[in-house]
Amino acid sequence: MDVYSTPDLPPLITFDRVDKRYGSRSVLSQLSFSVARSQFVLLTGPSGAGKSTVLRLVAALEQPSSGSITVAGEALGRLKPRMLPLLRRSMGIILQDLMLLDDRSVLHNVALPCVAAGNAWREALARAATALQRVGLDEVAGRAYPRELSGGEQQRAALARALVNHPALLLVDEPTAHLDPIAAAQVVHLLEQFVVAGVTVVMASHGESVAMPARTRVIALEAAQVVA
Amino acid sequence: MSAVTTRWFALKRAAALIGGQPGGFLLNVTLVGMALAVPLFLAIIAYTVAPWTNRIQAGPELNVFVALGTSSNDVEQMRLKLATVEGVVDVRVIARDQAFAELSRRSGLASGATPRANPLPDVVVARFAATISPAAVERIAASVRAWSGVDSVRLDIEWFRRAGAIAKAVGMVLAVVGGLTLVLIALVLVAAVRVQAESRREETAVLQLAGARTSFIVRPYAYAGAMTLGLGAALALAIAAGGTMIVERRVAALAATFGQDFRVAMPPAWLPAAIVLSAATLGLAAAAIAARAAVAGARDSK
Repeated sequence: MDVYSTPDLPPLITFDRVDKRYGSRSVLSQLSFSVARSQFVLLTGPSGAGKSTVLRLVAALEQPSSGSITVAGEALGRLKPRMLPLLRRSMGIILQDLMLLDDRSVLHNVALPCVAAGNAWREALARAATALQRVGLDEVAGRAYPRELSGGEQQRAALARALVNHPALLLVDEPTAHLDPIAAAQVVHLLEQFVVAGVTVVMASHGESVAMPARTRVIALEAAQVVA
Repeated sequence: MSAVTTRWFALKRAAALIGGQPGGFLLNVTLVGMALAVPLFLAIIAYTVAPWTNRIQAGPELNVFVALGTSSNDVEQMRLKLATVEGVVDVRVIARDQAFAELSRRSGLASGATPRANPLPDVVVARFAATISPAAVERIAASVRAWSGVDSVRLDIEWFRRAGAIAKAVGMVLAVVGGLTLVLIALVLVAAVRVQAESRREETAVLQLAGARTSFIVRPYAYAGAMTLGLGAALALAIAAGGTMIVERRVAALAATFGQDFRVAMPPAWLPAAIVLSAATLGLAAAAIAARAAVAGARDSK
């Protein structure tokens, strides 16, 4: 356990001696850490250090080779498959590939998780519009198709889609990788605002020069282990 | 969101899937329609012809030759007894005097020649229903042979046996053609849905990340599959009905040679509705299976 854990609430994420291997290649080795609620966590390290793998393990997109992972009190190894959708609804996940669907407008892209979570389409559209406002995209951008947006706007649209179900945890993989410094700073600022609003943000980044919020907790991965 | 709202959303997504590839959808419906039209056309013909053939088709006949010297009262008793046998639809007596007179008339012995003693026996002729099995007729014949007053029994059943075998073979061919067509259609649909679902992998991945249940992801594909096969079946019925109308005149001419009036009798309204509904259900199930497999594949490869 680490100093960031708040004494009154259990950690939101706990990794306990987690190994992850792909064949004979070890990506994570005996990884242990925990993340408290409403933290801004930066997972950093060189390419191949296992940052994306950590996010995918938290989202239960992959299973650890050994060790245990607990998210919001649920031990993922013991989670029944039918409960997985419910767990994912409590998270917002943005992978490196933003996966914005080109056959529909940005607004409809953002509304999709809301419908998948069981809301009526009209309500989903209203919540999607609100989410777009939160990330600074207006109605015009909402009506546009993803390919018509800039890289920074696409990243914001993906953020809005991840936030539309009001998740407690936001997992973001390399959100600033392909953005100019101004757009990157705007995205980080947005993420900081979500933390202030009570969302836990875990962001993977290979360490480009983006100014991070003052209270950011940094978990540095290197050679399959936590080094800081 | 209620189950109705979820399904309404899935229906709209299914319409969007179809709208996204209208050419492919129409091609699939046409393919299904044409493939199903063949067995349906044959089935409609069989349905139409069945009552007509039942009218003209005679069942096997059992000729019971009565021993000479049996009284006409006993012959009548024999007729009544035969009429009560299960499967017998008609019994008539050819009296020996009547048969002799007919024979004499045909052979030219009636005029001039000295009348000879009548050597012919009374004959009781029992006609069976066309639906009776040859084995049952043979059992009845064996039993009648042992009756008192019966001299001999003649049963001409080979033609009936052959007709039954032909009818069975035709029914089997129809069933095989129909079954194979259904399997073929289901396989074509499964392949089409898999390709469609594979091409929408990104949407599947987004939905899975968002916590959508597999049923939510699969449902639009299943509805689209139901629409494909349902509309295909409706098209097939239309093609089959049209084809039946076209051949009606020729069949009517054939019927006239049997002295019968023939008109196409379309099945009752519930039957086409049931066929469309069954096809839609098959489409729903096949497409759901295919989409589930594609979704599982997407999950495994993510």
